[in-house]
Amino acid sequence: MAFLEIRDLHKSFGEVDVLKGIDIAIEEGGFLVLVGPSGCGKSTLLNSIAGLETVTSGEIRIAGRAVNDLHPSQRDIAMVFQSYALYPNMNVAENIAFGLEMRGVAKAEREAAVARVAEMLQIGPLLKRRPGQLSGGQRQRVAMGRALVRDPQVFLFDEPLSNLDAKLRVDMRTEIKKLHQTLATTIVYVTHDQIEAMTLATQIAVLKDGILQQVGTPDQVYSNPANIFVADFMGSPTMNLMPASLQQANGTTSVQIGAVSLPVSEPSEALRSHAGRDIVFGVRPEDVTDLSSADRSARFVETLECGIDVVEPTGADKFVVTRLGEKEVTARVRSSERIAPGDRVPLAFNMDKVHFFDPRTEMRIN
Amino acid sequence: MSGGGNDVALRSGAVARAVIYAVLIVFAVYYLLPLFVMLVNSVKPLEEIRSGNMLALPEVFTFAPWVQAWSKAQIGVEPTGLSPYFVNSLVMVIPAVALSTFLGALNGYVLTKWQFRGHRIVFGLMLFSCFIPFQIVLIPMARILGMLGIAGTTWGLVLVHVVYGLGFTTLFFRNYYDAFPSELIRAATIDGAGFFRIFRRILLPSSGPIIVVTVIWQFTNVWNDFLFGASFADFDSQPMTVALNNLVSSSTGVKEYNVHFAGAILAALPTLVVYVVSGRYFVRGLMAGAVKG
Amino acid sequence: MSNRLRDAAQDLLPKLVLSPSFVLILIFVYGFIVFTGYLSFTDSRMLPSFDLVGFANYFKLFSLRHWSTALSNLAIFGILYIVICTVIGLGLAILLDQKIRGEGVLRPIFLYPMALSFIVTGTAWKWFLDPGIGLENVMHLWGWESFEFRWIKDRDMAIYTIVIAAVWQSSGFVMAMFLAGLRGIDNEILKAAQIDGASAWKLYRRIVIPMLRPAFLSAFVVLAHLAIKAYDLVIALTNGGPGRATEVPATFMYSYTFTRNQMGVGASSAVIMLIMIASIIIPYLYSELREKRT
Repeated sequence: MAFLEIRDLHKSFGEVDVLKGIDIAIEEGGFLVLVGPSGCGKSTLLNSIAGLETVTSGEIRIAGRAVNDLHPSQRDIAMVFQSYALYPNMNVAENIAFGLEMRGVAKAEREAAVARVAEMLQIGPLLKRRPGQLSGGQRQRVAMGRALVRDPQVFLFDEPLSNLDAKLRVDMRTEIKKLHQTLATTIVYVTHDQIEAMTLATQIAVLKDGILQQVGTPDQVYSNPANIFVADFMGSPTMNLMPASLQQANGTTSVQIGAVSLPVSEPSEALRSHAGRDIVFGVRPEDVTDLSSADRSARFVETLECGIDVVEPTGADKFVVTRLGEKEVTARVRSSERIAPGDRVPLAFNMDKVHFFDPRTEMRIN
Repeated sequence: MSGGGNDVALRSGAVARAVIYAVLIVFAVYYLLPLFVMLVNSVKPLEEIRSGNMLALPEVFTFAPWVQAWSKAQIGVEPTGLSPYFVNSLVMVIPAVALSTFLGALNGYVLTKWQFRGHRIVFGLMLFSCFIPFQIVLIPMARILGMLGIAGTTWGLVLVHVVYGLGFTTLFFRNYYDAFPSELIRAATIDGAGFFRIFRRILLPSSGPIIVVTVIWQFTNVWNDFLFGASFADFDSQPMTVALNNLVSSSTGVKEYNVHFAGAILAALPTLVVYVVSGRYFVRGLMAGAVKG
Repeated sequence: MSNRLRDAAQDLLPKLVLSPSFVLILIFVYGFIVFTGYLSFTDSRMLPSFDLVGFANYFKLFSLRHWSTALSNLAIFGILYIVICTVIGLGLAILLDQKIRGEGVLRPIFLYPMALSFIVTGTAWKWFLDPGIGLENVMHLWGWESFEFRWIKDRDMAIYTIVIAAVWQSSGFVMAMFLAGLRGIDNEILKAAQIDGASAWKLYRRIVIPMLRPAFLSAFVVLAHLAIKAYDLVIALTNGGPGRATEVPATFMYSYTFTRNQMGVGASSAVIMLIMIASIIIPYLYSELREKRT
């Protein structure tokens, strides 16, 4: 049975429906990342799990226990906030111990617990300082310490890294992942950063406008996006998406993009039923490469001669922008490739990894 | 207020700057003049004021007017000077300020962090009460104080000042707590702290600046009040402002200007001291009182 | 912070904590307003009476010469007080904002009168403007024999001495409001305007002063309501005199209610004062509280 279970959750603020029937379940020790653009309802969902928001209807169960009617402090959860929410008038040790103090834990025990957490997070030297005297990264650690010390059933993280600079963010991301591997406590984590979602999650839930778009492992969400929104949201640079039409002639199915035609390998029943209709064709930049970088395990690779408009070196790779039909397409090539704007070069399309969507429903065509 | 000036100032020549300084200094003189007049003439003998120049420094220096104003001048029935009224004002101001500040803090906490349906209307009604002309409440207030049996007492004045100070103290704390991060309240809720504990352990320890602002504001207003004192005080509970006015405008006998000036300074002293010691907070209070919402 | 999961008691607690203050305000402000409003329609004289007489008190009020004096005095005082305070306040704020050395000394000097009681202000100015010992006498002693300044004894001019003293007390405060407004203007906007070639004069007239709109509004509201409530200063400076030449609504209400035993007329004058203030304050508060909402 799932450890954290959310069933048909609805939340409205007056006339506005913020969550429209959310169903998610996660096993014990799982790392669930709620991801989506701002205003999608992910923070409301997290606050509902915490008990900081009242739900309109639906049920939340933690470890088999319905918690809808429990006060946040009785749900056996701990939370790390975006602003860290450290009590400015207390020092680090007092901040960490406050939750235990409220629960009537004896002083000696509290001190031992604080020492244990301080050791784990390497914040021992900071214990006597006030939050105002700490750097962003240190505050982040203290906020995590405050959650850790409680040893809860579920950790809730609300965009915990969004106030850190880029380098620190990557370090802390690794740290959170390590922590999860050590403690194996169930985590629900909210972010708008899809890279954070990919790197941390065991399960990703993509939300938009209060509706769950897709739940799955990072690989499922990345490789088999359920609809155009998920395809576009996950991945950086984003997936190339363009209007196209599906043609069937002489037993082969091909996708027609402007004047260009690409044959489709092993089209499924569902895809063939779209023959003769408009579709949305999608391919990720890493699946459009220079010939020598083409995936050797791919069974179907199509090569097209393409004119290059823009070249963007990133160091590890180069992203080049070309044109397919009327749409720009980004391709990833080796950084050693000598390509300049205006060149015409052959690019390899990995047809094993292309995506088709119904332009009307925006859903994936399998 | 205390921040440095704009990087972009008028680029102006030496003449223009001299004019700017001259204008500013003229105004400084205008603002200082009455204080100077009061100080200088409070240490002159009466004869020197009547025959001499009000703006001149004293030829004969005397503290007699101060002594007279403080402990000898005839104000009520007895020649007590202003000292008993000074004490009356203190005894009235301290509980009035403490109570209205305390209630304002709680109100501000509820109105920002525990909002309920209609909280805006409640706040609006309290805020409007800051501005009413007090003439509108004088008649019923006199009756109610009588009914409560505290007419003419210091406690009656304390009640009046608490009630009509609540709007401002609530405004101050509401605006301050409004900017206080709600995530802290959420964190404390998850930590298991309740209504009063969050207030006492999380908000109150961070409220130092706004408490200072509120206390100064209330102290100044209550100390300087004249209308309520004149309307609701008896001879033995009259505050300093009323006594000073009685001293200055009593039509009997010789006008002892030097005593009047000494008395005026005595009446102004507590608020002036507060202003000098903590002008920054005083200004912040004025601004907070002027910029609503 | 709404949460149905709190105990019922915890849920009630915030309202319970707020209720004493709210009840006090309801009774002592709004209940009293209703009571005074009611009295204004009764034949109350020395003591409150509950016999209704319709608008008789209001008709009487507006037929009284004292009341029309009070209203015209309020108009003169209010307009001059607001305009002069605003001009001086804005001017000083702009001058102080020119990277003035000694701003830290000047600012508190401009502002300290605000800390004083109007009774103190009134006492100081009363004797300073007194022709016998004050300014006129000083000028004579300095050799300007023909100098004459006896407004405070002059029925037609006494109201202007109240303006002088009130401006002295409040203009520094208005200066502080404008200074805060000036310091709140984004520096980059000023830099952009200078790069666009705006002269100092144009910079202030076209960019800065329009951006101070909120400060103008706040200053107006504060000054207007202080003007309507003005009582202490008049009592201390002229005590409504010479004769009743400096009567204002606040002193009128007090004397009719408590010394002339015409409580009904006094109550109706208080109601008119409330209406004047409410017509300024309510739209202001409404717009301020609404803005907060969005």
